[in-house]
Amino acid sequence: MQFDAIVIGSGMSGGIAAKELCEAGLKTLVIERGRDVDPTEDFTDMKQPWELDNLNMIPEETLAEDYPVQRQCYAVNEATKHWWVKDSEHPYTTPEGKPFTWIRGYHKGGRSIMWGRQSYRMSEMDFAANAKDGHGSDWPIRYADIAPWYDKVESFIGVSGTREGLPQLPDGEFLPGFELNDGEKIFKSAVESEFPGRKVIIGRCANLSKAGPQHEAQGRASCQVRSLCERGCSFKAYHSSLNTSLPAAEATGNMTLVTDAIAAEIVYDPASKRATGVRVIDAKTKEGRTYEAKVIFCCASALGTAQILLNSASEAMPNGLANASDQVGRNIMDHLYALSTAGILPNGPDTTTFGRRPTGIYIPRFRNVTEESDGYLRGYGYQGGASRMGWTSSANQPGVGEEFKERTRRLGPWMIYISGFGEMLPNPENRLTLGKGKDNWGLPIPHIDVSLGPNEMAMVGQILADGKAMIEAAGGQVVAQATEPGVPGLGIHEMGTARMGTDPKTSVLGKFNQAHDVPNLYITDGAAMASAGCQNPSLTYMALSARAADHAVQQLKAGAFG
Amino acid sequence: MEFSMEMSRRAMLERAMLLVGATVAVGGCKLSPGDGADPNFKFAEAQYRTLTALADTLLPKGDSVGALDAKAPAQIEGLIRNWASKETREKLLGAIDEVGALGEGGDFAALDPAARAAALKPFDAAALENVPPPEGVKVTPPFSGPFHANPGYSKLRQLIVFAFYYSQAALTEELPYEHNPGRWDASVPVTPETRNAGGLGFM
Repeated sequence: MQFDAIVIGSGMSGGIAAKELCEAGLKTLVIERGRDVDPTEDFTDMKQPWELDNLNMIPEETLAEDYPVQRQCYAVNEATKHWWVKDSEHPYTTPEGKPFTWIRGYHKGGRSIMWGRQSYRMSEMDFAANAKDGHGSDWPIRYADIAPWYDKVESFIGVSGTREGLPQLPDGEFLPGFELNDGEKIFKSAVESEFPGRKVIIGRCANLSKAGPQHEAQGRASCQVRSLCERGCSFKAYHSSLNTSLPAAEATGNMTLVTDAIAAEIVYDPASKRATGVRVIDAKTKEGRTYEAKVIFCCASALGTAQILLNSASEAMPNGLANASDQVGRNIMDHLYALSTAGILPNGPDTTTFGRRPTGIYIPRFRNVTEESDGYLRGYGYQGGASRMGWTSSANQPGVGEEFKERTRRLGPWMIYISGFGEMLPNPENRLTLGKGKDNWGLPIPHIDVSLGPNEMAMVGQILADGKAMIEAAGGQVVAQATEPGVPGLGIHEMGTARMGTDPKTSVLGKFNQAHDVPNLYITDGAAMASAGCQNPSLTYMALSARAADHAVQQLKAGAFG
Repeated sequence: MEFSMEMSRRAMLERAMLLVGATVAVGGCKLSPGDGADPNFKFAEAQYRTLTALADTLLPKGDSVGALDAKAPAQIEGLIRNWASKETREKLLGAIDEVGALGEGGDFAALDPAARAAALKPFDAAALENVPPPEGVKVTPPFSGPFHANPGYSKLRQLIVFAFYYSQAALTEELPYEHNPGRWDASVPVTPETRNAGGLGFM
C-alpha cells in the first residue's frame, strides 16, 4: 500500500505530525502498535467512586505479576489499568543494580491520554546550553526557530497559564491561568519577597480553562475541574491525540490509521538512499506486512524509536538505520524526579477551595539563571501546590466511633508540597541496545542502561535545601522530605536517543528533524532532544513535530524525495 | 487548630499528586476477580459477626450514615474474594480473629456498643502505632510507610474506612462530593458547617 507519508506512533508527537501532514493534503498512514480505543467503553471518567471495582485497586497478585514496573506510576489504578502495558508482555532488561522505570501505554493516542499535561516552552538558554558548556551536541536550532511553532501548537491544543516575562520560561498563547489558592498566594508572596530571583506561578497545563471558539469547533468543552484526566475526558477538555490532533487529521479525509501494527523496521533502499516504507507485525496474528510512502515520521517515543532504528540495520547500515554517528539509542535523559519536600502551614488562612484544579504551582528554574549553583551545570524547576489536608489524613490515624467521624469531617491545616525536576545532562553511556532475547513478536528485547551522573547528583542536595528554605520562608514546618531521587525513567520524560545536532558525525538529526543519513526520515518524538531542559518536554515535541511536518511538505512539493 | 502533625505519608502523597493536577484513585465496591483471588471465599459466620461489629464500632451510623449503611462487611468479603493476595487474605483474617477476642468474655461481637468501643479504642491506638520498617523493606522517603505495629489490623481498618468513605452513602450523607465540580473557586471561607470534600483518596 502506497502513501505520501507514514507516521509511526499515534501519541503526543505522532498525533500532531499526522494532523499537520493531513492538513497539508498528504495521504498519511498512522501506524499504532497498540489497540484501538473506543471512548464510550474505555473512558472511565464518568464513573462515580462507588462504581469502580475493588476500591479502585488492582488485585494485588495481578499488580505484582503483570505491572511490577507500571505500578510505580502514581496514576496506575483499576480505573486506568487498561491504559498501561503489562510488563509481563513487554519485557526489557537492565543491568544488575541499575533499574530503569519505563512507563508505557500501547493504544491509539499512546501516553497522551495519561500525561500530566504540564506544558512549558524551552528557552533560548536551553537551546544554547550544550554549545555553552560543551555537553551533548549543539542544538541546530535556537528559540526563534521554534517559537512560532510553539504558538501554533499552544493555540491548537489549548494551554492555560499566565504571562510572566521570564527569559528562562518564555510566555505563550495562553488561555486564562487557573487561580492560585490562598495557601499558594501566601507561599508566592513569601518566596518572591525572600528570594527576589524566584517566581511562583500557576502551572501551565493543556486543560481548557476556558474553551475558545476554535476548541468548541473541535467538540471540546471547558475543563470541569475534576482531576480525573487520566481516565480519559468525555468533555475533551485536555489535549490528547484522541481529543484533538487525530480527529483533526481524520477530518481532512487524508488519514488512514491502523492499530495493532507493531513497527518492526523502517525499510531502506541503498540505491536511492531513501526510506521506502515500514514493515509491521500484526500484534494479533503476528503476520508481517509492509507499507510504503515517500516520507516517514518516526514518533514511537524516545525508546521505541531507538528500538525501531536499531532493528532496521541492513547491509548498507549495519549499525542501524540513520546511525552512522553511532548515537542512536544513546544519551537517554529523563528528569531528576521525586525530590519532594512537604510542610505544614500552621497559621494558614481559614479558607478552602472548591473543585479539583487540574494543575498546581510551578517555580521556574533560578539556579544558574538568577542565582548561582553549588557548582553544577544547568538547573531545576519545582512543581507542587498547597491545599488543606483532606479526610484521608485523619482516616489513617487511630480513632474510633463518632469522635473519629467528626475528626475526619474537619479540614486539616494547609500543606505545601514542592518537588524538584532537575535537568540530566546527555551522556552517551546512558543507552538502549537490543538484546539477544526475543519478545512475543520475535523482536529483540531492549536493554536499557541508564544512571544518574555526577552533575545530577550534585544538584540533589540543593534541590532539597532550596525546597526546605522556601517552605520555611512561608512560615511552614517541613514534615517530610525525600532523601534521594527516583529511579531514572519515573519522570516519564525519557528522551535523547536520536539527537538533533549540527554535525552528522555526532548527531542523528538535522535542524528540521531530518535524519542526516536518510533525508526522507523525520524523527520528532523525545528521541530528537539534544538536551532535556528542566521543563516538561511534551510541548517541545509537538512544536518540533509541526515544524518538521511543514518542512517535509515543502520538500515533497519541491520533489526532494523523488 | 487541633490536628496531629504526624501525617500519613499516603495522605501526603494523595495531596501532593492532587496539587500538581494528577488523578488520585477513588473507588467503590463493585468487585471483579483477579489473579490470586479466591472466588469461593466466604467468611465463617463468627468472622462475619466480628467484622460487622468492628465496622459498626469504627464508623457508627450516628446522626448520618455508618459503615453498615455502606455495606462495608460485604465489601471486605468481596475484596478478599477478588483483590487480596493469599498473604493479605491471611493477614486480614488474622486481624479479624484478633478483634473477635477483644473485650470481656473474648467475644467482641457479643458486647454492647459502648463496651465494644471501650475495648477497641486502646487496641486500635496500639495497632496503629508507628514502628520502624520491617527488615529488608527499602524505604523511600517521603512516600514510604507509615509502618504500623499491627499491619494486619491496619490494613483491615483501612479497607473498612475507605469502603465507607468511597460509598454512595458516605458521599451523599457524610462528606460532600461533586463528581463534576464544573468550576474552580480558589478561596472559599471555612464556616462551622464546612466539611472535608470526599471522594479523592489514595490506597
